Amino acid sequence: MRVTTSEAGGGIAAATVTAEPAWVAPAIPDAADAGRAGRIRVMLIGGLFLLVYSVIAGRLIMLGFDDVVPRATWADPEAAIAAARPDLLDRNGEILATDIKTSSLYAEPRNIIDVDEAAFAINSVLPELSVPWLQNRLEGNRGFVWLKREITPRQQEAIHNLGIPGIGFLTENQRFYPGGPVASHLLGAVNVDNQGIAGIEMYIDRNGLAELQQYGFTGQGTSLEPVRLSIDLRVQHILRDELQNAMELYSAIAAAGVILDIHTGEVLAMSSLPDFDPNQPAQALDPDRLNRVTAGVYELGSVFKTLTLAMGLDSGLVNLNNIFDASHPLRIGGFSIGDFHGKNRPLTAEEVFIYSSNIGAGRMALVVGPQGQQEFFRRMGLMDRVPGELPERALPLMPSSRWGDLTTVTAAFGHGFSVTPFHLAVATAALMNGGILVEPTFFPRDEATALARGHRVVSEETSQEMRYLFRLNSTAGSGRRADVDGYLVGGKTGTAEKIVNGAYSGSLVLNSYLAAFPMDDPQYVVLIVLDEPKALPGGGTTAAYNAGPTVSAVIRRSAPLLGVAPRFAPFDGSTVAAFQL
Amino acid sequence: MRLLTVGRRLVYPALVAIMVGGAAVTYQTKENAVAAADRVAELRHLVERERIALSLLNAEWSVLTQPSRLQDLVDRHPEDFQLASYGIERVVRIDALPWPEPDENDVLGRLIGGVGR
Repeated sequence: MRVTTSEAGGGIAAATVTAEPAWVAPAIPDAADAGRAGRIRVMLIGGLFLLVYSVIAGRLIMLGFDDVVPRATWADPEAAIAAARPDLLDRNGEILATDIKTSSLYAEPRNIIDVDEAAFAINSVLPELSVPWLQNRLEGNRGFVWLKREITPRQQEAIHNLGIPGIGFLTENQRFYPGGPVASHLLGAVNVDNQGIAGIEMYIDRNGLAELQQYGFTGQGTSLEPVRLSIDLRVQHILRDELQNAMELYSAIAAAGVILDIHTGEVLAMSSLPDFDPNQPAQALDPDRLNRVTAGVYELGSVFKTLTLAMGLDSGLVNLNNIFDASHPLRIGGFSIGDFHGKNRPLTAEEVFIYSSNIGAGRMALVVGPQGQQEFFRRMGLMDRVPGELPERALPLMPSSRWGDLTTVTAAFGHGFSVTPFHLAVATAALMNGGILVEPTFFPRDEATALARGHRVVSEETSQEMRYLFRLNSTAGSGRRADVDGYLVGGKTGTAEKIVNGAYSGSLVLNSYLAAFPMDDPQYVVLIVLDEPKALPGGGTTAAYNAGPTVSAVIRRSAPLLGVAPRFAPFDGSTVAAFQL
Repeated sequence: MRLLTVGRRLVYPALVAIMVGGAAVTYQTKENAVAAADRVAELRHLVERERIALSLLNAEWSVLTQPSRLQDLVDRHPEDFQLASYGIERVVRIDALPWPEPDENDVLGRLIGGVGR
């Protein structure tokens, strides 16, 4: 640039210099030598000036490309400190977690000119700060004192307008969960530095946000793209509300539930009670408030017969009409295994499921054998840490001893092998959707993506037979109390005796209901677990009396919101026959 | 020749005038640019303030419309709201609704022409 300029300028200068003699020369005709010397001098000076001017011109062009710095700077110096987090939205765009700005009021006493005036002025906006206290606080030569943390924007505006010297604000981002505890275990919580310490908040940090914060890309004023989750706030509320009702009604000590889309693996709702308010994250530390769905492992009891039946049917060694002798207890390894609702007669595989026969399930598992059972459980993901994005995920609790015939028999009806409720829900989704195990997720996903990432674990026929069994159990078996008119709920009850002081308690139970609906074209799996529910007058303690009705209530309220239309007319007693393969 | 000399005498004042004029225009432009930048900064600040206010209002709206809060309110003031849970039997697909057959003499009906069918 500069070179061109000086070249062009050089041309002009040369023209000027050559033109010079035309009028200078006659004035000094006898000094040709001096004239030549003068001309050289002029040219030198001209060249020097050209150089200087071209430097200036170049600099001007450079300045022209610079950004103009405004005279007044509006940016707050503390803005860079408080880290921003993306909003969390539910699948319909409702806010689950958001950042709100809070301002804290501070003073620099050494810069305050009139302490009394300042004290009275602040008191006029914040009456809760008394004038004597303020005077005491604002006196002296200190550099910094807090006056009040977390004032409202309106108060900040009012104090700002007072224009008191030596008074200032620090603003910071504070995480806010408008729903309070409604989705606490799912969302998790953040610490004072706005870093995720649990749940999806922690997952987001681990997946890039922490790096962004570290390198300073998340200061105030930067708006991050909101993160959409797969859960539906309305359904989440319904699930939690019904779990709360159930806990109260049946005096249970805890409750947990999850609703899963069987085709996409999306979690629509997940709740575990007692829970906590993420706005007060200290509550989350209480061990009783753990996420029972993904972080607690339980012997889930008879709901496991779902897996035993699927295992038997899928192995090809068992069909629905095979007979299993449940006329007398099954003796194995020095133990005697009996039935709760004993029929004391040989049962078909179908009857083993709907009458929930421990003996029958045990015998069926023995047909497949310990190796086959372990292989099947592994295939269904029950032997690994439960999948999903939450950081709070438990490993299954394996039998302490060798996995022999006894373990095979007890695991067949859900004892001696502990998994999380989420394990079971995910595996059941695969049994209902045609046999594809889809990794669950808390973020929106479509069916094609889910299928691409899933893999076949049981055959299409096994899946159809399992649907049939689920529906049959709701019309002819223990699941009748979970049915909802118009929605064809199918499912399996589970009543597991809890271990108290090393032995199975006769009275304390962990009840669960594993359901899917609508059974003619299953869309969702619902699993409800109630810990130590008590019998109502005239009722029992088994899952049919408490977990069943809870599932029913959840589905009745949430199914229309989940986009499942009820159907009434053609379904009656013949429905079951229609399912017969 | 004389004319040329007069021309030469005028060249310098003219150049000085152009230079001063140029400087004035440049200064003016620079002032305008700075003023515009100030305005931009001020507007950015206002936008940011509005954004903060908006997110606060969104959060507040979200608190006010929480399903649990609405349910509590309806449960607590049944006489004011007069609301009850709808039964599932009231949920139907729109194509299952029995629409009346179009009346041949109904001009308006023909205009609307089977809307919703």
